[in-house]
Amino acid sequence: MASRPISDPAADTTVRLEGDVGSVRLAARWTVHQRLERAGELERRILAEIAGGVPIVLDATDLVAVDTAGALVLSQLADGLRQGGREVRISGLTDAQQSLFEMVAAHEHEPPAPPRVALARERAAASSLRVADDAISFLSFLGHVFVTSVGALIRPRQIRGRLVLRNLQTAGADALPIIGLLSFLIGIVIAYQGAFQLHRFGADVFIVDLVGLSLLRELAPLMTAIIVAGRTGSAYAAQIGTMRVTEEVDALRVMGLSPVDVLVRPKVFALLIALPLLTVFADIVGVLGGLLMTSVSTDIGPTFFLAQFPRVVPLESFLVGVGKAPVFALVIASVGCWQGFQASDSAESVGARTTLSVVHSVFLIIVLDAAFSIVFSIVGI
Amino acid sequence: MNEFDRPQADASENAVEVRDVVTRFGRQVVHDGISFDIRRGEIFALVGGSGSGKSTLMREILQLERPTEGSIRVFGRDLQSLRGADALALKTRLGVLFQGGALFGSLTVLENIGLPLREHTTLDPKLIEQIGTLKIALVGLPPEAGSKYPSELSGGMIKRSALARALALDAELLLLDEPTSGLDPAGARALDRLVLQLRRSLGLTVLVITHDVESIRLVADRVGMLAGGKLLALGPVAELENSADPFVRGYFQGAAATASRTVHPPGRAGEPGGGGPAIPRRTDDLWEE
Repeated sequence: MASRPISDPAADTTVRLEGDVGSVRLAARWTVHQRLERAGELERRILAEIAGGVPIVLDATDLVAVDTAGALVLSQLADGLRQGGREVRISGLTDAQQSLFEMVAAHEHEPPAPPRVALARERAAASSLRVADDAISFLSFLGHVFVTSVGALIRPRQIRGRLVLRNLQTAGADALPIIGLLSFLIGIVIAYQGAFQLHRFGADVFIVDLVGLSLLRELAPLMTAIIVAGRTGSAYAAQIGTMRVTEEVDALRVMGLSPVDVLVRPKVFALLIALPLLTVFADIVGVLGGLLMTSVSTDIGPTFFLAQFPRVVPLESFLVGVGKAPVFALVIASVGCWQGFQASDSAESVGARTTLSVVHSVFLIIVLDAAFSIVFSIVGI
Repeated sequence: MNEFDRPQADASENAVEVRDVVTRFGRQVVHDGISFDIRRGEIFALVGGSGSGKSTLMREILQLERPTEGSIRVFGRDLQSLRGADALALKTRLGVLFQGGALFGSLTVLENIGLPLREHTTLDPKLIEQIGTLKIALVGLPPEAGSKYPSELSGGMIKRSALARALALDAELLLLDEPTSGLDPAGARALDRLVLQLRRSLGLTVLVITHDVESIRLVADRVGMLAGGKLLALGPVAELENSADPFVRGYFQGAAATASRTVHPPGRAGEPGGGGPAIPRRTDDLWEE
């Protein structure tokens, strides 16, 4: 569009006194692609050049192209002049132009006021109420999912096996490459940083403890959960949110299918299975990364590393790490699904809810992880 | 292109020229050699059963999709070779009403209508608002509708708002996909009158896809009927209503009796790929067990 020359119809219009009539010979083109916003200039020019009391004729003889916007501007011009006490006539319109002017005149309105923007204190009040509402709504959703899940476990025929398997594929198996790569890198980083520090104390052998305990207890479960929250939780929110916007969720309800049964429970079950398995996978690959870096950067070889590993890393460290995974899985799946159901009727809200699902899951995961640490230290695991 | 006589600049007297268009999605043939012209200033109705490729053809005219074979010219420009600034310039001459409205959910109705004006003209915001308000009134909405968001509107109001946006730039070629569906009969006729009025005042060319036979009778100069990937009939409504082909005749008679029944051409009803655009849609979690 940039290269198109833009004409100024107001400037191209000639204004002069012809006998006892003020003649305004309108420029040829008054369309949306001209500089219609300059019409005010023309009005000022007419008022300046044609004395009050002299009738004004807007002469449309040269007018070849006029669209609704042009007609609007011209009738506003005429109205403006009339309000200034002038007598105004438009002449020389073709029949088509005449009908356009009539159509525009019949539909002219003042623009409505824009939607009211809430005051700061109203927004603050509304948002705190919303937080409370959301908390209650989320808890009741969680309760509903939990109760129906228990029901499904009692009557396994209610478990939608194929859906669970499909979700296992997308949330579990498909996540293996990214989780493997990132855990491997984390293992390498831990070993590298640790080896450097421990070497200054001459405590090189403790590298095995460092890599093993930190990965198995904390880093592998945490990293895996955070990746899955970003990868799968967001997908859950977006999918359910879009289905709400397109009324697919309503269609399910009308067919007598519970959206929780069809959309939520298979996802929860799948993630409850997938996340612990992914955590075990992250443990293994992370430790392999640590082992590789230890062999490269210290005198400790892989044989010693593997021999030392079971002596310093107790089984319970592994169990503590993997044991956290189902809790994280429940958080990710339920937050993602719940946010999806909160989406209203626009693409924007689906986006906002998807973002919130990741933010809230990651927040809850880290808070819960901290709570686990405290509890475990109290009970002495 | 000389700005000062833009609409006259193209030599061709046809707004749209469709030549031997073939469209395939995978193995499904949607269009199997379709040719027709839409003349300037004409209101051309495209009819046909569900899945006969009407919307696909419209998307091809809009440069949203490319035909597999054949060519489409819009205002004399071949879409196949159109790139960059030229393609954009052509798009500003088209106004589109999508079937579902396609209003932007984050903008009010007035902002939706003002968007093409803000992007493609030099007009100041106040004038854009006034033009938007005028368009809202033209399509028969109350002025207050301008400050509402699409999610606050009913289906019919969304349709009208979307039409107002399609009219924003006073496009030379207006493409309407099912403009009257979802409107009450009175509203539908008012919309028909608006289309006629706009054509009279602005010399618009209109391509309308519709199942509304009454609307076709009121507004359409010529009708093209798609069936089985071919252009089955082309001509004024009266001619098609008295066509020797019982299927063509039946479309108008049947449609008059039952407003929008899906019509299949004879002998093709059971053919695979007879329905809907062939983009396979994953229903994913919905149809389990």
